[in-house]
Amino acid sequence: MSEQSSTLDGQKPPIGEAQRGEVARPHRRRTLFSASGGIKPGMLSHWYAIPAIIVGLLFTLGPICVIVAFSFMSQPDVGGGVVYKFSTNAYKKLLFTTDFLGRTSFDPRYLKVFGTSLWQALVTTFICIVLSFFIALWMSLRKPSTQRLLVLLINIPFWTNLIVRTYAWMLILNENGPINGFLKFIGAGSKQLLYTSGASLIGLIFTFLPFAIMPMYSALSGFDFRLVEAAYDLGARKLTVMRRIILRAAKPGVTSAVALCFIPAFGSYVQPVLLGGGRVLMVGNLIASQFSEARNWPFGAALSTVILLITLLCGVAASIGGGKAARDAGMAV
Amino acid sequence: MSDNNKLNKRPDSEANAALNAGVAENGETVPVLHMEYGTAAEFGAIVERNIDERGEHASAQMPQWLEDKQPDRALSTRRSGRNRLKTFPGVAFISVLVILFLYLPMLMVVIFSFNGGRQALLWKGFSFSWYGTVFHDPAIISATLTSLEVAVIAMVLSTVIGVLFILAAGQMSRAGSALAGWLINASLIIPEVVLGVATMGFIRMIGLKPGMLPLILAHTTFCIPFVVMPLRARLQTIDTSCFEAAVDLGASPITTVRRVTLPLLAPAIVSGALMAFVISMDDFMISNFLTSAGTTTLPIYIFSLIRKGVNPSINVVATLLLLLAVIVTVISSVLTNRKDD
Amino acid sequence: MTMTQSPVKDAAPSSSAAQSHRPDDTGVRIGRNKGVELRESGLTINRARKTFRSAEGNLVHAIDDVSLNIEAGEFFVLLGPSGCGKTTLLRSIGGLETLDAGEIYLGDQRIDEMPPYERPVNTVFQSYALFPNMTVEQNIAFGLEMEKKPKDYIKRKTQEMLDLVHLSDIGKRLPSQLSGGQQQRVALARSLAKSPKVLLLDESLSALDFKLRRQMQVELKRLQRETGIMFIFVTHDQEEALSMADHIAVFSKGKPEQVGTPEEIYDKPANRFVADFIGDINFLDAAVHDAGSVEVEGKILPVAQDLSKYGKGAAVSAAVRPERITLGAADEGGLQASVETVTYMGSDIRCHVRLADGTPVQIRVNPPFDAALLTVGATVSVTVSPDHMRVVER
Repeated sequence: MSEQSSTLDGQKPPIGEAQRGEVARPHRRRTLFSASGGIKPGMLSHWYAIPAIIVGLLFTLGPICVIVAFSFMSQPDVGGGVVYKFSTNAYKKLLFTTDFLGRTSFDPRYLKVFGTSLWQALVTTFICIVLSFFIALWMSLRKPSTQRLLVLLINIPFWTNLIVRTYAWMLILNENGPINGFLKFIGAGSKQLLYTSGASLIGLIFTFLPFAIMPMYSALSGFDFRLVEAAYDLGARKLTVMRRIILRAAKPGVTSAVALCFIPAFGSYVQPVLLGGGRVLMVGNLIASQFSEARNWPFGAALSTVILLITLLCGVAASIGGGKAARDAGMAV
Repeated sequence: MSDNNKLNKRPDSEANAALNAGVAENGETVPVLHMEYGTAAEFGAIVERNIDERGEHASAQMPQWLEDKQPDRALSTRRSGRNRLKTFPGVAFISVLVILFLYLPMLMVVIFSFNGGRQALLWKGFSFSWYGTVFHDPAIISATLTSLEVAVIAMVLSTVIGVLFILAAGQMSRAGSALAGWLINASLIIPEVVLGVATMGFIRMIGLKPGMLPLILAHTTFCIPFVVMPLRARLQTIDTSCFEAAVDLGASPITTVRRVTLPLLAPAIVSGALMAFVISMDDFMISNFLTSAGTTTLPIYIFSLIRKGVNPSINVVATLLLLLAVIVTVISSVLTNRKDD
Repeated sequence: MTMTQSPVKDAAPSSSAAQSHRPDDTGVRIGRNKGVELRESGLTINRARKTFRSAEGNLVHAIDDVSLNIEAGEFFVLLGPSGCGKTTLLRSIGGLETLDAGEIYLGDQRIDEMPPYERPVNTVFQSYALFPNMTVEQNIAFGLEMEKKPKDYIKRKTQEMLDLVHLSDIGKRLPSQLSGGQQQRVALARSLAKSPKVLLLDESLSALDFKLRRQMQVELKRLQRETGIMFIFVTHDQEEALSMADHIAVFSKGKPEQVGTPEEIYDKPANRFVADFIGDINFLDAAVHDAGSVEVEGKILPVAQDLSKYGKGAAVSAAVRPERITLGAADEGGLQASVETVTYMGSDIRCHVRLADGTPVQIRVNPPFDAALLTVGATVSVTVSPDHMRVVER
């Protein structure tokens, strides 16, 4: 007991020069790569992250750098590839055309392609978000077991092959398909449904709907529906509750749904080709053709660089907007 | 509600056509609602209306039979099935339409895979014949084998790399792990066409020829985020004191990883690996820029078939790919929803 | 990771060697910090420090220059409000946190630089931390497998442990199939299977409901007595601490405020914090009269405590437990007070009285008691024996 109470009487063992607050033992030095402190139990040293980082550097960052570099190079006289000579011709080609006399004039052709892409992507995103809000709300109000089943149902199209999903609409929209069959049956005559921009749009919506539903559902399923009850209790009507309470809670879901639908839809390739049938030219098709038939790599690279910039802007906007929306909805970021 | 003394202090017998007379203990006449209604909520509404009409001095007495009455059904809001407060106009209708919109096209594919006719798009009666054709088509078999080979190797590589990364990420500085996370997830956000042509340019640049190796490397890269996603979610649900307990009981760091961390992560590892497999099997866009003549993958082959003119064997292959998606999604869902811990 | 090489490893690498010779009389060894008195057995913590940087960037002294001696085979409780550093200290003993400065010795073996998996110390976690993928048996066997013990030994020991915690027949179940109390027992058995020198228990009973908790308190005490292992138990529940401990260290802000037996802590609190933290207590304003008495409300009351460290006339508080106060008729010569409330609690009667200067005092009286005295508004006399009055700083 005498030893134990020694601390109380102020007779501390006369050791150690360490001052209060001073760190007597050096922590492992902190770098960008490694955190201070040791390895957390059950985890691995930071060195094991290296394979993933190498893969990311080589096959994500590497290609991005290469494509940006290509966009500032020259087109060879014959065939594809690039000549290592600095040039901004690829970017000039986006907006201007040079005739054989060397006069440059404004050329809206490629701007129109961007316009088409933007329009198709915006309409797709808007419709996907509206539909996903309704189904996500409906899903999140089911009992837990039903919810799990519904999530599964939404997931299956997500994991189904893109070509298969697009092809399914070819089956429906073609001239002998069920819709035209019905139109013929009622005597309206068959209509050209396949190979239109509308078909391409339907394909895009069909593809990206699960991308919108999942984040929307995860925003709404975490929502505390007692807030709705409180709103009713305070005299709110159903539409007011939907507008002022539930829509607000769905905001973070809307932001990620925009990011997940808009960017891939903007760069889509398969749906315009298979369902739009050449009538719809989107940036994705334009890029792909520059690297195949047209064999103008620098121009394709410049188009890609523009898309990458748009992606980056959307990504930054989504992460800022996402954080803000989450704060607005009163959720922890 | 049936506080007679309170009621007695405010007799209000004139404006009460709808009310019967009730007699309290002291013989005074007090207003009593004549109730023929079912629920307490409706009773409440009547009281409210009553107050609105007659000012604050109105009150009502709950008849005995209503006080004794048991609720018609459980008043719990837990079972949200038929709670009227939680239904919103149009929501169920639109939701059912959305599900039909998602599944009817798929159903069409499955139905047409049993089409006996020679044309892909024209129904000519039920038959398994195209299944037989597909299973003996050398081009389809070879494309499937190529796809399987790429998918299996990419799955294994991306799973190993993803698991190592997620276990190491916590030991990196916060900024470092955020940067690495961005680097890894970038392939998820960048439009596939761009990633495809960029990878092609890069492969050219480092002197590789299109073919198996670039395919596998690119597939591994874009599969890693799909492996990491379920792992990260799972890791958040694991009580970290389990790892501390293992170390405390004498397990070395590597033994702890082997005996505790990996078994606890197992469902997420399997689910991530399955996702990687499916994503790799499905990829068309990126592979399209990296294949050579001998390494045509299944999606590329189907795409070319569709462009050449629709052929009934597409329906069969599409149905089989759909089946793969269903199987993988169900397994992965069962693994992530398991309630054993 | 560490700068200083442990001298103990060179001098006495194995525990059997450590037991065979005592440290020399001065407790000083070459290469070891001066002034640390080491014993053959028992845990010695010497000037331990641990500082965290909080989210706001402030330095938080989780362990602030703590020195403690804990005897082998005792039930030691670290008691304190949440955030007082008791859990950090426990985790440092177990090796799950690294100290910034100071040493921890087990016997004369320095353990604070050992990795946790080499320390003869085991922990029962607050959340039990049972491996959900292993059965109860596999959980208990895990630690023994890590020691590379022979198979039949592991089997025998596992069964022995299951018997010890009265769970002989559920060895094949998974942790998720057990109740909270059973999980608690498995966690205990798993840690005890390794026959550690020290068992650390981190708020281990806090997840259990009241009744089960009482049962486990008795159970823990029994296990500790049967195994003779040193238990260090962290809790914020003072009743739990008082009922189980051989010695208690009351922690506040990273420092032990008092170390002593439950009786000492309860009856002779060293300072106001300890007095206030443990149990109900009344603080009466007092002034020091001389080394052996204080003046309260103009009356000189003797205390069984040396007050010479306070100057004459110093303003202090006289701390008195509600159940140590004697109530009497107004003419019995104690402090005059009027009864304000009387509450019948079954096992006792609690009443609030107010002294002449307005200080409220709560008193606990065991029935039967004179009903006339305990009526609201009655004037009573309040007396406290010198042994039951504790003078602390105001």
